[in-house]
Amino acid sequence: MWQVHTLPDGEKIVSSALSERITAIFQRTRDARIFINLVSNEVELRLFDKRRLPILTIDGEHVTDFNGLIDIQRNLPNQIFYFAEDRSVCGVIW
Amino acid sequence: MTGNNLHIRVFFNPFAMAEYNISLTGLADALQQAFGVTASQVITSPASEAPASSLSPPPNVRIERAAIRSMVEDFWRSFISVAVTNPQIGAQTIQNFDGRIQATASLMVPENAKLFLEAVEEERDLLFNEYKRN
Repeated sequence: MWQVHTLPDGEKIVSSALSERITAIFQRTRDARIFINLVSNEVELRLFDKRRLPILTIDGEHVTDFNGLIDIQRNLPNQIFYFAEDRSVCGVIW
Repeated sequence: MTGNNLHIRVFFNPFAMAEYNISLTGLADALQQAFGVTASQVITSPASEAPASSLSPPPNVRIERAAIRSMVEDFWRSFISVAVTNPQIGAQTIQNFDGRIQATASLMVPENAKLFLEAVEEERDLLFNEYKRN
């Protein structure tokens, strides 16, 4: 279930649990772009692969492969299109 | 993000993968409430959802176009800086850029790749024409 949360600094996010260990979060940056951030909690022992990014599919048709953002990021280094850390992997969708 | 179901495939290190399905029900209202945008604006594959005859691309396509323009400008600046004094390196710069563009497009879904390549080509033409005028 998608829920809106307001962070202490006033920023709003939209989140939903994918499992007991991983949460999907929509966040908006200052330049009004929107990212999906997948965050794992301490119960999840595995760490995200920083070289193989998530692949999203809507209704089995529309595929967004975050791995495509790696080259875009390389070509446009002054703007963030994705980041990948041990417990958080994030890509721009709008 | 329009649709009923979002499937997410996540990769873990090393060599592990997990898949999750989540309903998109309620997401539209939540996005509207949090960001003031409609779900149809937050789409993951705008090119594939835009009508072929659309004369006015959706806002997200225009945002990507600006990024493409910036990328082509960067290439053009590096090309100009070397091409006059060293045409051979200039030619190599073009080849390298073409290779990067093709590699980037190959990672996109076909519809997006086609739009991306067309946009890059158009921006290159525009910049070349601006250069000639100056």
